Amino acid sequence: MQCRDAQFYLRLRRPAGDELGADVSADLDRHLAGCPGCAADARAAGGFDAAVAAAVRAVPVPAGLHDRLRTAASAHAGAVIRRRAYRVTALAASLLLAVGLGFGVFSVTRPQIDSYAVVGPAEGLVSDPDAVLKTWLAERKLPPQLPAPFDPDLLVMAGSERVQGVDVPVAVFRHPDDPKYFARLYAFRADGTLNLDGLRNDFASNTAVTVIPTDARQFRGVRYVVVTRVRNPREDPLKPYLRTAGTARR
Amino acid sequence: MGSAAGGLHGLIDAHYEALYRYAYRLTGSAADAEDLTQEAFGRAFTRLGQLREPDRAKAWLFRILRNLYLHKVRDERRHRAVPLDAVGDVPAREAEAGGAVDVDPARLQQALDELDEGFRTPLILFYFEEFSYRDIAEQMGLPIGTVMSRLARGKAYLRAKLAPPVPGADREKGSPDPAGVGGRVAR
Ligand SMILES: [Zn+2]
Repeated sequence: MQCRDAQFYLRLRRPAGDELGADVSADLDRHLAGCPGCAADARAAGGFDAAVAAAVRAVPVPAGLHDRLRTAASAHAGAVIRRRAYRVTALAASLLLAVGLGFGVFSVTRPQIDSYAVVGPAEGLVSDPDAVLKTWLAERKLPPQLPAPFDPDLLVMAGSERVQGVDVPVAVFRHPDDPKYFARLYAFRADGTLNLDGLRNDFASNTAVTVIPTDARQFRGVRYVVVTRVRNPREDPLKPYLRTAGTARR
Repeated sequence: MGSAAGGLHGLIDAHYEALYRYAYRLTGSAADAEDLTQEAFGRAFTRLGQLREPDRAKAWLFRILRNLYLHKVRDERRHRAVPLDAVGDVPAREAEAGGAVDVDPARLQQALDELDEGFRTPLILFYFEEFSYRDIAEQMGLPIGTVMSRLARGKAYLRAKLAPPVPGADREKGSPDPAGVGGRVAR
């Protein structure tokens, strides 16, 4: 092997595993053993590579990125599944384990179906729901508290949805006993665009639309509307989704 | 494959850090890197069905991210990168910088930014030490020899930027062939 080839292969030799092939490696080693110049270069190149490799990998990963990605994934799964459910409601419902999600009524075409959909095992869709909720509230610039003590363990997704032409933050909670039922908590910002009657009309008849009364100052005028699928007409529509059963929501 | 969300979350957990670091080195910006990582996972989720071999998921995600990046920068960046032809050939002999090399992170990123992506990606993936040359070649859709050649040239470029030869180092070292066999100027 000539010095020029040795120089080329030196730069391609890697600390982990021989990728040059046994023949080339043996030739290179023979050359290095007999050529002090290239041997010195090999040492220098090795030191340089180690330093650059450490520097290239030293990229701090943002603290909230993991949660943001997972939240987006859940929202995505929800969206995909709602679309799919719209097409193959009956089949999906019969084949897959259900976690309630999505009335679908807010999509542009306002499908009239009332299908729930399916997002996999009831548990573990959101692995760190408190963090997801916190991130969601912060990113949507919402007050840091929820307007009612929703149970984070029931969280299915936190994202946003197009409602009456506006992107509205929404968090979806599943019913603790029946995964076909769920509550969608919408946070309408205080810009007067919410048309409650229109909203009620958007929904199928077996859904309840509840406005949570809040202190306008504490919640900066954000109006919280919960849409639930009615499971038991005599039941408080929100109660199953709140953390402390028996504690009446205000 | 289990549930869709489970699959997505598994991919995120296993690969988001590496993917973000790659995105950061490609774009040189934390905000762009996060956007790109988000988009890559978003794209991956819509194509989860195309992932035939789960143990190739990382390479698959890297390829998706790179394609998104290339699509974004196709027009805006090309003109200010060092084009492929301008990156010199491998010098016959590098000057040996005495002692340990101190790599300044800002200068490293600047040097990467200056390079055409066709050089930048092999360098980043080489230094990540997580992909073989064959993997890198597959990701870039290039013959493995081309990847190796670009790597050798890209490394020479980096070295010239980050550890410029000390004047007179060759002489002090007593190198047997200071002129270098077929030595050439990197231009
Ligand atoms: Zn030699």
